[in-house]
Amino acid sequence: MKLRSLLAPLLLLAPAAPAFAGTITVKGSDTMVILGQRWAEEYMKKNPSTVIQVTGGGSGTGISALINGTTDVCESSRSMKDAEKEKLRDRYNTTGVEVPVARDGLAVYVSASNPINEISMADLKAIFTGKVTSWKELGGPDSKIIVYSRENSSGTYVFFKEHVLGGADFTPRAQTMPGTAAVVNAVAKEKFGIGYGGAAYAKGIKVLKVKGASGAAIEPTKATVMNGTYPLARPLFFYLRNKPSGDIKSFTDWVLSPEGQAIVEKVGYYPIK
Amino acid sequence: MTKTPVIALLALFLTMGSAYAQQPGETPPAAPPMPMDATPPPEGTQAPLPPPPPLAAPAEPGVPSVAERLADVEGKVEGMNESLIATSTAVEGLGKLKFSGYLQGRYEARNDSVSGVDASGRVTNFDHFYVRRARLKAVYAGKNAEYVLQIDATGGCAAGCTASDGVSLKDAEATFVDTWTPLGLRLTIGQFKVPFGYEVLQSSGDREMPERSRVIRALFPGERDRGFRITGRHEWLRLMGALVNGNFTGDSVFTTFDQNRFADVYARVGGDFGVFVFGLSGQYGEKILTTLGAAARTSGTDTDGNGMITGDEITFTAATAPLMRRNSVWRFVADAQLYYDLEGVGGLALKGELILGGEKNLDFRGAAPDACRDLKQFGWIATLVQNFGDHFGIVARLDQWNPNRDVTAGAMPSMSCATTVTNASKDKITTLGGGPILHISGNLKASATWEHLWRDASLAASSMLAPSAWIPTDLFTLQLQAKF
Repeated sequence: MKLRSLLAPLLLLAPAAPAFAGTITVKGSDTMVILGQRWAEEYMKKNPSTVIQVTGGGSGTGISALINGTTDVCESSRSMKDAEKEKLRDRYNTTGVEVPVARDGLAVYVSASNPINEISMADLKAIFTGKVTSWKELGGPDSKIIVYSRENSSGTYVFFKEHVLGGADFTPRAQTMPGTAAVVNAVAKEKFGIGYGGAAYAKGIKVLKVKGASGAAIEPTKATVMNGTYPLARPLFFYLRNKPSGDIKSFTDWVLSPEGQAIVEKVGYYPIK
Repeated sequence: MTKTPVIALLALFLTMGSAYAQQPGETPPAAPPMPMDATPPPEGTQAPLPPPPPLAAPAEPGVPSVAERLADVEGKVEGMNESLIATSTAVEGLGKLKFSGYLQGRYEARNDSVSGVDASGRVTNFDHFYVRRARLKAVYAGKNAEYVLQIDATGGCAAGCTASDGVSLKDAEATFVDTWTPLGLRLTIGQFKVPFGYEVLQSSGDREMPERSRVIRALFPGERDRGFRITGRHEWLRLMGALVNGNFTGDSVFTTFDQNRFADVYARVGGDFGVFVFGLSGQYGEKILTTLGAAARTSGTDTDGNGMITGDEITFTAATAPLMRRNSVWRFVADAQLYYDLEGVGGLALKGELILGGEKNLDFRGAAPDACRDLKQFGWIATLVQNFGDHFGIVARLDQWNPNRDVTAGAMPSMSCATTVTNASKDKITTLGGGPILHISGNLKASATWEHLWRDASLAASSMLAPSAWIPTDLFTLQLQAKF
């Protein structure tokens, strides 16, 4: 067989364009999905020729999609892990581009009728690892604590596990919810429940003040999140495979513009600058 | 869903049901609609009333009350909740078990292929389709333990073989994972790739060229060994060390078994700064090279052609003892990879390795060291990969392997050594290769690669070698890789 003739099948395997020109796919963090949708709506109004598709699934899912080439932009509520960066480098010969696009104070939710108003990081760890199981141990009613958590593909789950639990496992009694809205809904209905999630979702429940290293109980407000005094303040990211160009660069630049950052505050998060 | 809303809904439903059942005096339902063709009753007359609805049966003794039924439902929901927790725990455990794998289907064409077989009946055609790798990997990552098993379904295959069946073991690692120290140490016992340089450790599923460079294939055939390994990382620092059997002996008899009692030691220290990665690796060990002995034998040749073997035509060959030589082995490699994101084009990677090695013949069982059996090895690899967008890329690799720097063009000029060190297998070989790569999707990759090879000396003895040991001058490889 002639070698030249062998090249022909290779050309037949040429892939279809990954996305139509002017289409940007955004995938990842459930915490950021509403924010991403608001950005997309506003951006598409101003740029009718661009179509932006926003889906959730969790930060881990978004990062996997970025590595597999099935999304252009990954929304993530946590930093990429070393192993994920190495996979991206192995495939694309790049280390990826991290763009902080907003700030969030990870809120701790309890029922509006719960008498507890503040909690320490140590108590949070004890509750979510299962060492403390009754509100009575925290000065509350003699009732079992119902713990709500997230799926392990969630960046919020990973952030909470790393920053609150110190890498320890969640209690097996924690009920896994598919999204932050589901956590809020469950806590609102369960008088003795506790959960965590983005501050923007905190409707119809009570957000606890969190005591950090200083011992002062801090509420997640714009000021405490922006100056970093709130113990569970975190940045929210866009991750890209390469330095942005074309439509992706235009969209990213717009997200970081005053107009894009104003939407961040409307949704309930805090601007990056 | 939490149990509270479930119970609330059930309670509501049951309450409503009971309420309906206990309303015998309710307004009867409206009369059924009259058929279209029916004659309406005359004015002033009253239509017959529909039959009254049946009265609800009064609660019988022994029928549970609403409160009892609610308590029953509550108990069932509680039971389901317990069951859900147990199921969630089981599913979470399964989530720690991950399967992955890849398969490489390949067509290969060589310039030295000849249809048919040689005088000994050995196949001399190498232009063929075959499955190069068919891997399946299972990883279970527990809290402080990790299990890794990787098998290859294309079977074991000695150097130079082109086809085999069956399943062979690639990686089998039992690892203790430290979660307390900042180095995140991982202690492994089993079979794994030896920590030496970049190409040895790079996955064949990620590599842009179809095979590793000649120097790596010569020094570390199969790349794996059995023993103990420790790895650690802290921020940019990368550390690896291993104590292994030392099975890369090159022994013609015990090809994958080290007869030496002493283990080989590997160490690697490196840094990962994202766009720049480097490493320094070393190996030290010993190996024993075996030549099997032969039993005494008698043979006869009818030299005068008279149809008989007479006494003077009988030859006696005395028995020979097996011969073993001991060599110390040391190797050192410096490797570096540089990554740069060319704006609007794609990722660029430049990768290089410089390998120095040596073997020194030592005394063994009374035999004196033989300097003619010392080897000074040298090799280097330079690779360039350029991505164009997310789907296209090109690769080019230039590498050289010099099995003995004292041998030039098939001869050792300064020493009167035996031919064992001056044969063609000690020729310096330089290879240039490359081609396009097409990432059809996240799971499918196609590549077409051409490689051209230069030897220091012409291989006049090629025709005397088994075809499986032939080295082509030009090699073309077309490959499709699917992974999950």
